[in-house]
Amino acid sequence: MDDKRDKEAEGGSASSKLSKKSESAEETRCFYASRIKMLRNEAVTDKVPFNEASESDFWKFFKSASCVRKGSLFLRDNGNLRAVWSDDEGNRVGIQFFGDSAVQYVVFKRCADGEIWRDAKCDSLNNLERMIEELDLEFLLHG
Amino acid sequence: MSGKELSPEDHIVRYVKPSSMHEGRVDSSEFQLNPRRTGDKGVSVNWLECYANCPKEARLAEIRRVIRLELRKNGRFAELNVGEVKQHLAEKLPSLRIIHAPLDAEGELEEDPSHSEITKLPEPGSDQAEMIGEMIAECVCDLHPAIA
Repeated sequence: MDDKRDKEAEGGSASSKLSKKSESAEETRCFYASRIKMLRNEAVTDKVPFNEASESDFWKFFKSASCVRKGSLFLRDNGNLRAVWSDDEGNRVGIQFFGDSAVQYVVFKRCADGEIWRDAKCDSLNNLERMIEELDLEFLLHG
Repeated sequence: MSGKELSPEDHIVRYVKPSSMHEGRVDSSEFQLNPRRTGDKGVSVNWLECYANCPKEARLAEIRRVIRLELRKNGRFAELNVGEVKQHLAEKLPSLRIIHAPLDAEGELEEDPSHSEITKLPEPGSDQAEMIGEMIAECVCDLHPAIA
């Protein structure tokens, strides 16, 4: 155990970096699981539905996007989950998960000229992931 | 409803329920018309400067007293500056208005002189409504406990 700690303290091998990343992903998974538990309780208190298909799509996105950064997670009155990741530069990705791989997203991207480019659209989960990649906004999810 | 537009120097607060509040961010749905309330013309907010010559905490106390919502311990009042909201939305939604819309006493309900509304918002649920809601949420400058 001490050897492992020493190696990690030295800056670590590829395997220790991978291990740290997995730990971070696991920590983030717990963070969202705890939030969703709280939102389920809020749904009961507020007498609004909770869309199971929306949660399922959120976790699908979480896994496929290798999401390790903690964002904000909200419950809409229609029962859908909505996640938001942003930074201090004005970059932002907001996703409402409708279920059945359908999403509504809002994307704000700080361009090289300093202006913010904004878009909002309904699309599929797959297209959304591709769009995040194309806009180089993955860092909002990966930290 | 007087319909007078609030001044750019004024500040408004919007009660945000716990499910719309996380990690210091407010969900954009708080700044969209409610699709289930088809008669709504705007999003309800309260005008802080309505209560003149008293500190902000006293203004918030008065709003907590008269607001017609069930406030929750882990809910928050999101504060926004009127001028900043209008400037931020000037290009995308120049028609946006933030107007004073005081509520008269009604049965057991006291009057709410600070009640105001964000009006001329896009159709609820639309892509534009999502974008505008997100842009207004970016203007939140402070968060205050819903229950002191």
